[in-house]
Amino acid sequence: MVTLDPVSSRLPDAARGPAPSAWRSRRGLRQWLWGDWRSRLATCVLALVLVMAIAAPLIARYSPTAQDFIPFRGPSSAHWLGTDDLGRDVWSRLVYGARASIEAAGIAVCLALAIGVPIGLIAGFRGGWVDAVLMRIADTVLSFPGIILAIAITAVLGPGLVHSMLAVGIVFSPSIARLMRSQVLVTKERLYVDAAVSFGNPPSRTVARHIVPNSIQPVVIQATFMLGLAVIAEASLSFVGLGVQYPSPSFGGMLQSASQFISVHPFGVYPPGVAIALIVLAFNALGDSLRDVLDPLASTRRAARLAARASTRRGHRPEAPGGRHVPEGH
Amino acid sequence: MPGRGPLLSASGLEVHFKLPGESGRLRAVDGVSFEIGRSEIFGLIGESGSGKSTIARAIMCLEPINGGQVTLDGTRLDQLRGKALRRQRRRVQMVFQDPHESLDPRMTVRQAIEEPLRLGRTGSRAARRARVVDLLNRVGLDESYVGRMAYTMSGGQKQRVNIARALALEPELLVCDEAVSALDVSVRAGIINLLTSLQRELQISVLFISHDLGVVAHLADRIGVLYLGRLAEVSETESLSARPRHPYTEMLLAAEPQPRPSSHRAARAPSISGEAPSAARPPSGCRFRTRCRYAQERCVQEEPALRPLEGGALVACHRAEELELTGRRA
Repeated sequence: MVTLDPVSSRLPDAARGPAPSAWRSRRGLRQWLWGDWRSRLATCVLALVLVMAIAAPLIARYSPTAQDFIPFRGPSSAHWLGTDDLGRDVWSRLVYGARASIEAAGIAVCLALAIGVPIGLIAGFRGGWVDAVLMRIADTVLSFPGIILAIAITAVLGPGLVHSMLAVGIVFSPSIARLMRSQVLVTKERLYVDAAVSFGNPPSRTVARHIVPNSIQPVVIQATFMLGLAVIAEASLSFVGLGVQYPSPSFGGMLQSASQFISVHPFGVYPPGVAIALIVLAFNALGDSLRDVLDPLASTRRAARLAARASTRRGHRPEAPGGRHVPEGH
Repeated sequence: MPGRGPLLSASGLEVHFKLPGESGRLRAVDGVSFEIGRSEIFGLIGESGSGKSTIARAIMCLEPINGGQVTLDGTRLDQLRGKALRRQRRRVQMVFQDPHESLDPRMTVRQAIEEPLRLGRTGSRAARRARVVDLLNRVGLDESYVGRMAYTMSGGQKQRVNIARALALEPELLVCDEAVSALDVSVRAGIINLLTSLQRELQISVLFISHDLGVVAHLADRIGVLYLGRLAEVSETESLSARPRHPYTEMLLAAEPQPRPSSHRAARAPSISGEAPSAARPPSGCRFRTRCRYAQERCVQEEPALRPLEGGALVACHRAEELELTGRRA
């Protein structure tokens, strides 16, 4: 009988990384949110935004809609980010605006997933005419410029934060559906799916236990990026007046009113503009780092890179990636 | 009635594939009939593209068949659907070619082996877990493997887990589709010995599919030789290698590597020459005639049927009686 030596004990710790189990493990979570400086920064930014959104009444120093101050004031100890055209405190409006942004991103992405994942799953799994019909519908939605479609849908539903974000969710859903479909098409041909069928798994259980869990990861990564896009979409729709309604604060609305007075008070566009940019960058960075954690290939490359960097720092020449991970015969 | 007649019989089995962009159909399996007795090891050999794996998938009901029938112990498997099929298919289990692909990358060893047990609703959770350990021991792995993920194991270890999983439902027939081809030679021997001892212990029938005549001859009681989707010869292992009745079998035997220097070898029949013709456009008459050194005019005109010879062998060759073919040298 051959000796069965555990292979993993001989691998460097980093090379054990391409963990499909990283999904659930604490190590994976830690690597996602705290793996390198980019993800740490992004986690901090988003944690801050989240705290601002949740504890807005505690953090804001004035009511976001109170306007008994002098307009167009610069930053001062009384008004950290100055005041806007109606004399409202910009810091307080920013804090409440974060709430609108987070809410908006959440609604839009959840709706996009709720519509896109089942459609992509059905199209990919059933194939044939079902696939053809569903994907033609998705193509039709995708062929409109996103913002125009969102404006049209909001015009029908009526303006407001929830309505405009439902519209954004609908606009996002076809790309989720296409991604899910392409993943399912690949996964359902895998041998382990055949094996699952051969034990007598009914189709519903095969889909739920094997196909969905092995197809969903890229969709989750895409959804993380979409959170950033949804923040922009919310700002854009509020900018044109279809999102959050006056006088409630939102980044887009603040940017819009500040841009009207840019010649009088140029500082006004910076607080909402920088806030949007920071949130979007943070979501993107977390999306990137989630992909590194979940995608086995990418994280093997990352492990090789880290190993190479570590050995150069010690004065050794970097080893060829992969060369050291080859297990010997057993 | 259980206990009488062959366990599994395939008769006139046909599996066709539609060729993309062409009107023709590829007859991957074109009228194959064979029987597997109780606790018999039936070997199936053939070159790539001869339809070996397609036959395995057809028997497993993973591939719809276009003609013929598959009968398991008197039950027509090919006519079953839904729940009735799921109940029957547990009696036939399969070990797939690629050990890496046939384990769900997101499952631990325990989850993988427990899955068929769970579907069979056999016993309590504790009983199932005990059975998992028992199965692992049976395939030469110890209890410490239960928590391992597929990616932390070597090919041989994974294939052992696959065998344990296939045995979990106590099948009557085990289909091994190139079960050792993806493994290193040293690991291969261990898996082959494992399969032999398990078969002896459990008295199950095995359909062992391989392109390697040496491996099949070592294991099988009877061997079927497949060429371009048709059986060329079916015979007891000893008589097949001692006295092949089909020119293709002779060629396969001659192509086997021999553990002796060429100067010490007796003159042998020329080994395999040329590529197999495409199964999409098989030659007229006998399919093997384009590579057969005994081919005559009749072989171009008439397709030989698989017919019994004295001594029990079945052969599809017009000239089977007159030819004196050389077998394996001792």
